[in-house]
Amino acid sequence: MSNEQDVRSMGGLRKYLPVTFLTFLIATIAIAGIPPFAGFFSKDEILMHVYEHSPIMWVLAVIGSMMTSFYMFRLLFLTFSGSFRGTHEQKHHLHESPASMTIPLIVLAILSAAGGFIGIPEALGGHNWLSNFMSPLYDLSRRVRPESFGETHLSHSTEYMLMGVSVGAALIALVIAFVLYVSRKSVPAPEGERLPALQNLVYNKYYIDELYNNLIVKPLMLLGDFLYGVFEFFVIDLIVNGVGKAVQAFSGVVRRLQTGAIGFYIFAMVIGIVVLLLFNFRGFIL
Amino acid sequence: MITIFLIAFPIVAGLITLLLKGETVKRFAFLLSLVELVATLYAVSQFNPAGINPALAFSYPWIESLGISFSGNIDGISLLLVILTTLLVPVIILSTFGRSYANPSAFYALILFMEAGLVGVFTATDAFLFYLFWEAALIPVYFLAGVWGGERRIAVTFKFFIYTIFGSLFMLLAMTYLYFQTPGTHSSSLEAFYALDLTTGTQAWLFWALFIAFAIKMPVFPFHTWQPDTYAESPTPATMLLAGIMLKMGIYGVIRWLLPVVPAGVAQWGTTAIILSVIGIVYGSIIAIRQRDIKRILAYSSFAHVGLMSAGVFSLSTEGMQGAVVQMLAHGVNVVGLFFIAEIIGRRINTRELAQMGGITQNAPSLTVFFMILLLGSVALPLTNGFVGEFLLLYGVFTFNPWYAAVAGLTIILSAVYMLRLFQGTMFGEQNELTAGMSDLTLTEKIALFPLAFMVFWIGMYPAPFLKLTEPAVQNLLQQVVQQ
Repeated sequence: MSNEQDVRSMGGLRKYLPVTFLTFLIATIAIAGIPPFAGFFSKDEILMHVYEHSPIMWVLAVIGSMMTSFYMFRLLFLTFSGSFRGTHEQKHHLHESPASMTIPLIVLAILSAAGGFIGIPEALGGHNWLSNFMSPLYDLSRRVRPESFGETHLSHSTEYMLMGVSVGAALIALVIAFVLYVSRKSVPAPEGERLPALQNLVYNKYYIDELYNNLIVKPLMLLGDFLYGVFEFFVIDLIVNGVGKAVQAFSGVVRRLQTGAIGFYIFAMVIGIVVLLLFNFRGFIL
Repeated sequence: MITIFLIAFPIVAGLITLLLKGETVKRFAFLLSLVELVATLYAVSQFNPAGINPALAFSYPWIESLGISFSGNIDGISLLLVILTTLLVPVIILSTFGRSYANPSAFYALILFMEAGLVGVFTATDAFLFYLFWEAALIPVYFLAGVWGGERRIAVTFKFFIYTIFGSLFMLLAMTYLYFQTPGTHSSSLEAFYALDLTTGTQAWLFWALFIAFAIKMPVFPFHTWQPDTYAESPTPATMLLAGIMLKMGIYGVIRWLLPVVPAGVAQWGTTAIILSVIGIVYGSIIAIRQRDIKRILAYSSFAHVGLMSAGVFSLSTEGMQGAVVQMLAHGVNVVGLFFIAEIIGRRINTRELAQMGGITQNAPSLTVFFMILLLGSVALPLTNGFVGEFLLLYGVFTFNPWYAAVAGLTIILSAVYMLRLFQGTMFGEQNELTAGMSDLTLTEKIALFPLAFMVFWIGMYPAPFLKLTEPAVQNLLQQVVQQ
């Protein structure tokens, strides 16, 4: 795709990049948590423990995983289905990646398809080999907080219910994405077009980058300019150079005593002698 | 005997260098500095960190009627700094192979004289001998900066010289006072100073007299304004000597001649010293972020780093002190390497302005790799040398006061900001007319940078030998402070 990363300029790539499409499809199903791919098992395990801990958190987590399913299928459909939306130039250059890239993709796809079988929960007739394998690692933690690292106490029927809800949510999200991006062929608005407020907020990542920029980066830069441009030279160096200037000024005064004019020296000596005499004989005078 | 050799040999080597003529003198100076390094390694092999080392101590009557002796000793702290000095000097000399300086015999002789002064400072155990070396180390660098420096060298060097001499006079005053407090016919030896029993009031002003001298040398905020100008205007070998080794004189001075001599003064004013040091860390880092000249960025970064070392020393904890000692070695290695990188870039494209660079990495991959290693050491990434020192230092400051450590800890973020900004600005981005003609490192440059990169990893991955070397000495010192 000549370094293009914008899905708005893609579409219909299934024909041109079949291996990439197939591996991407497998990865999407896995990450969306649809059985029997790997994502389902790991997600199920996490959701189950969360439910045991707090059902509200579980609801939030299911909503989150539903969104994952939606944006992944949205990405899949926008990229690979429909017709190509890029330039003729780009279309001309479309080609499948070399083997050095497709082989790793295939390996990873196999793992994300079959990787889940190392941890089949007991509710589905497995022995959760992975959980038993990892168990010794948590020994110490379990001794400190037994309630957080124990086995699950949920009945199998509750587990089935939880699985059903999460899989159902993922499938619903899939369907919504399908309707929006395959049936209705909608494409995200091009750059610069005015977006509804909520979309705009989300598109700009809740303005968190801008928030950081304004709260931390800019003040830091301003402070740096101030410290270097003002404080360093007009406060500290002024004092440092002031010491030097004070010495010079003082030496300017003292220098007048060393003019080499003998008359002035004798005059100063006489005054000094008079002062000394007065000091010595102050008892007489007062 | 070996200690005297370590002090005397660079002087002899410098005198021989003065007699030679032409460009070959740099090779000769390099070989002589290698001899010094080998002698140091011999001293290391003779050294027993846990016990006393009579073989490394020397003491001869000097001005007997005044109780002043020519005496020195090497303990773990001294040894580490002697290793730093004698390791860096050959690297610094090697770094000059790519360009020629006018009147080379004087140039290299001054570097070798400087080495003698530095080794003297790190080993002397007599106050007047220490003072003598302290000033003797200043003179060569004054000439190096004043003769071979940049356009503003005269004004800048003058300020630097007056500023540091001003501080040294306070130290001379304090040491003379201490000398007259010693019993009997007086003695200026370190043990005699340690044995003094002074009132808290006296120790308080002695603390300030000594602290100002050492604080200017390091430098600690707000005594630092000589430093960025001097670093930027000096020829890079002199900058390396200043930043790599000379600033450690200040920290060493605090460790050896301040803390154990006036412990009550430290108890009273140590917190102030830590606060100034911590201010310097943040202040220097924030200014470094806004600098445009590569050498100035490094100068302010060095000022920020030394603040942390100073804070660690004044925390009076084993960790803080150990951290400072290891960090002195690590910082010396990193800063000399980074100034060398700055010099290489400046030499190739005739500018040090960050705005005029970019895309250097395209033509100079080896340079990029060495730069990155030294940079990561400087920002204290784990497994690099900077991490060991910085972690111990922050831990030490934390045991003293967690809030100071929290502020000092900002250095972790801020140093990453200014160093990565430096790296991005020089190495990445588009090439321009200047940087398009950039060539990669020569073999000599690689040979000079290799030992530094090696030290970054060695100290970072296996600091135990260095920590073991210095721990008994640090414990001794702290015991000395606590006893009083």
